[in-house]
This record gives sequence, structure tokens and C-alpha cells, in this order.
Amino acid sequence: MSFKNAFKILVSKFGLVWVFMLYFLCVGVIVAGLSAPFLTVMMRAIKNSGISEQIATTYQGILDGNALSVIADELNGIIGSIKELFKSDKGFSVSSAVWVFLVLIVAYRFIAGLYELPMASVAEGLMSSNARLGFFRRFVALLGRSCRFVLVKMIYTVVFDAAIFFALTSMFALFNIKGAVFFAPFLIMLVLVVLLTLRYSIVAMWAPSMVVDGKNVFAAFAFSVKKCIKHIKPILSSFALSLIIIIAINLFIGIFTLGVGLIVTIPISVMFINLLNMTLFFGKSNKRYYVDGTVFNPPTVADGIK
Amino acid sequence: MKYVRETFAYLKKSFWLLALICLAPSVALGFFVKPLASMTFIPAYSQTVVRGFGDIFALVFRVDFLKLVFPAILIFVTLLFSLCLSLSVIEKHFRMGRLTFRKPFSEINNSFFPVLKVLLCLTAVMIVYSLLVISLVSLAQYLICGFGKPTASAVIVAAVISIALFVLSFCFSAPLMLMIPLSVMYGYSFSDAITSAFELVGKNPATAIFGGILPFIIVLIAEYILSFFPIIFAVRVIVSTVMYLFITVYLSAYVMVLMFSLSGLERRDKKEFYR
Repeated sequence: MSFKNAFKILVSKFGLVWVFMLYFLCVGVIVAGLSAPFLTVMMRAIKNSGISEQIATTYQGILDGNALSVIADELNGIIGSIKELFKSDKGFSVSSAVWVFLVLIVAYRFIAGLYELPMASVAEGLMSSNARLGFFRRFVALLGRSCRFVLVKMIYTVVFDAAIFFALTSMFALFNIKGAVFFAPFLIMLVLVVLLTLRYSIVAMWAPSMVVDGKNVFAAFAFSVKKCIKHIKPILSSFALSLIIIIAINLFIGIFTLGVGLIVTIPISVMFINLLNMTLFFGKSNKRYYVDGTVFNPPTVADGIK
Repeated sequence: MKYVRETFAYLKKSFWLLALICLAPSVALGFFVKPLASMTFIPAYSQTVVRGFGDIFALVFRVDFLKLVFPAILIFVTLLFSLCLSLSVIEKHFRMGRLTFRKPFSEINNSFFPVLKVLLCLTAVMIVYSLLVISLVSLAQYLICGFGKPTASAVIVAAVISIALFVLSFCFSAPLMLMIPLSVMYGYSFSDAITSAFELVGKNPATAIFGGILPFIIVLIAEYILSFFPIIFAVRVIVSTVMYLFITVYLSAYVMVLMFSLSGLERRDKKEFYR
């Protein structure tokens, strides 16, 4: 029900997606601006070391329809060359390390994460009083709380994402085991979906409880974890289904529109996940809410539904 | 164009008094800062051999800017007091229908802290905007043609980046400027004023932002035309002073006109209440 209602709200208030696109454009500009001094040093080193020619050859091979084994060998060669460059070129190693840590891990997560509380506030307006609040107005009004929220949430996301990264990279060893090669892609994707489902489920009600109930950052996190444990089955199943559909749609549209479609599908996906957080929060707190102009009463235990 | 028309109509009545108030910061700015350097650097950029990020930085910021601490303080202080005075004078004119300049210290006292906070925020926005322009232009040039003398396509991309980012930065600057009248007239706190300012601009965002950008468009065109002529330093300072005077006077009046129009407040300067 939460999944269906989140989708209904997404479709009925689709105009918000364009606002989100504008927000992500601003984030992209700022992140690109922060990256530029590091990227120019890194790209210059890559060009001088001849790795750019290796990349061009591999890309041409993909376009020419080379065998997967050839492409895999070439990719391994590129990774090996980058490792060599990392050891031999100090400028490259320092720039790439600073870029990954300062820009990708800290700045990007911080700036991009600032949307979550305003988004929850806009969704609360839609769901609790069928009112349309301006995203940027809420963004400014909640900036202080958003900063505190993002700084604390960054600890959770960085640790969880690092765990996912190491789990997946270690699973690539399956490709070297005879017999496991056929199952390796399936297992890697399965582990990815399971870990992402857990990552999103645990914090699903964090931002909604901060905005709707006015809880502080840590109390809201504790509330979200408790609710997730209490309603683990419906929350996990909603997120597993949503993430499978989101990954499939983004891959499909990304490949068949040569990446152009991602400009729209990524904001839609992000907005859907946030609306799902809100519908789960309202549903599991037994709060009534508007769905496309009509009031929805969440089923309770008295109705025979857990 | 509605707000622009109203602003020019108001400036017809009160330009000279506002120009007098804004003269000191305009002279200071005209002497030390090139108008819209983050956009007008394009002609010089097309002739520069770029070796890295630092060369474009030198085109936008003065390389010796660290030595210019005292001029920077001078500009900030004169701008602060002039804006306090001009905005208070206009506000009183709009609310009471009288254009007076009798108690300058009282006028400054009315709006000192709101103007100080907004001026600090605007300075931060402008610095971030300039740094983003430098970063993105250097990255774009490296991707398009590598470092060295920029090609025509790199120059066009640089111009597009600087103008697009200016418009984007003004989307944040316009509501920031509206915070001053909101704080002075309604006594809003910083957070309440910024929320209400975004709400007010959100009523008619395209028109409100275009009206604010207009003086910069005029100055930009003038700067581009002037860049084709070799002019001596004294003339350069006079031209820059006139441009800054136009920008500060126009924006002071525009912010108040926008605030009164969007809030639906009655303007008594349009009627003769006092004889």
C-alpha cells in the first residue's frame, strides 16, 4: 500500500521532479567546480602516461563489438596502469586522494544530502494538509537542521557504503573460481540489492520523524531503527521491490537513451524513495494522509492487518 | 518589466539624492574593482596562454588582492553605510511620502545589522560564484582543447558558463537583498526574513530576477564595448564609478519597489500626503 500510494503521489505531483532537477543541476555545478583543480592535474597525468590512449582503444573496441574477454583484459590493463601511476606520480596520487576524500566523500554527500529534510517537509504539506509548499523556501527555512542532519547521516552512509563497496569488490574474486563464474553476476547483484535494501530501510523514517514529529537528529534515528525492526517485513519488501524497479528502469533507460534519460529518471527515483519513506512513516504511525486529493486511512491492527 | 518600469519612474524623482548617498562606495569600487570581472574577463581570456587554474584566477581576481586589505575594508564600510542610508531613505519615502535626509545616524541605526548580514552573505555568494567560474572555465578548456591559448569554442563555452552561473547566483542574491526591507519593516529575524524573501520572490520569480539582473546586463554591454578601446586609467576609474553608481542606486530602489509591489503595500510617495 505504501509503495502504491508513494507512486500515486509521485504521479500526481510530478511538477516537483523539475524542481529536483534544478536542485541536482546546482549540486552538479558546485561539485564540478570543486573537482576542477584536482581533475585537471589528474587528467594531465593520465594523458602524459598514455593511459588515455588505452582508454580510447578499449572504448573503440566496445563500439566495434570486441569479445568480452578482450575488453576485460584491456580494462585490467588500464587498472594496472592507474595503479602504477598512483605509485610513480606523487601529484596524481595526492590529487586523486584529496578529490575522492574531500569532494566525493565529504562535499558531494553534504551538498546533495541537504535536499532530504526540505523534500520531507514538502511531502508532509502534500500529505497532511494537501498544501503545496515551495521546495526552495523550505530548503532555506530548514537549512540549519538539514546541515546537522546531513553531518550525522554522513557517518552512517559513509560506513554503510564502504561496507557495500568492500563486499562487492571482494565478490569479484568469484570470477576466478571455476564453476562460480556463471553465478557470480547473479550473486553480486543479489548482494547489492540486499545491502541497499538494508541501507535504505534502517533510515527510512529518520527524515520524516524529524520533520513531522519535530524530533532531534539522534532521537529521530533511534525512532527510525525501532520502527524498522518492528515492521521489518513490509519495510524491507517495499524497499527491495522499489530498488529492483529503480535499478532496472535506470539501466534500461540509461542504455537505450545513451544516458540522456537519466537526467529525468534519477530525480524521479530520488523523489520516489523519499515519498516511500513518507508513506511508510505515515502508515506505520497510523496517521491519515492525502493521496491525490483524497484521504487515505492506513489499515490498523484492529482491521486485522499488522 | 513592471518592476523595472516602476523603479525607473521612482529614480526620476529621487536619483540625485540617492546618487549622492551612494557616491562614496561607487568611487571606492570604481578605483579598486573592475566591474563584473567574472564575466568581462572573456576578451582577455581569449588572448591568454593558459597554463593552469592560476592563470584564469589572475584574470578574474587581482593577483595582488592580498595587499588590498585596506581598500577592501574601505569598500565594505562605505557600501554598508551608504546602503543603510539609501534603503532607509527610500523606505521612509515609500511609507510616509517624504523624501528626507535629516537624521542620517538614525537612518543608519534603523537598518545597520540587516544590511551588514545581507552584505556579508552577498559577498560570500559573489566569491563562491567567481571561484566556480574559474574552476569550471579551466576544466572546460582542458576538456575542449587542453591548456594553452583557448580555441574559439573554449571561449564561447567560457562565456556561456560565466553568464549562466551569474544568473544562477542571482537567483540566490535577489531573495537575499529582499531580506533587508523585510527585517527593517517587520522586524523579522534572519531565518524568518530569508524564508519570507524566498516566498515573496517565488510569487513572480522570472520577472523579479530579470529586473535585478537588468543593470548588470547594461553594464556588461558597456564593458564589452569599452574593452575594444584602449583607455587611460583615469577614464577607466570614472567609467567604472558611473557604472557602480548606476548599479547601487538602481538596486537600492529596485529592492524596495519589489518588496512593496510583491507585498501589496501602499506606496505613499505616489500621492501627495504632506504639503
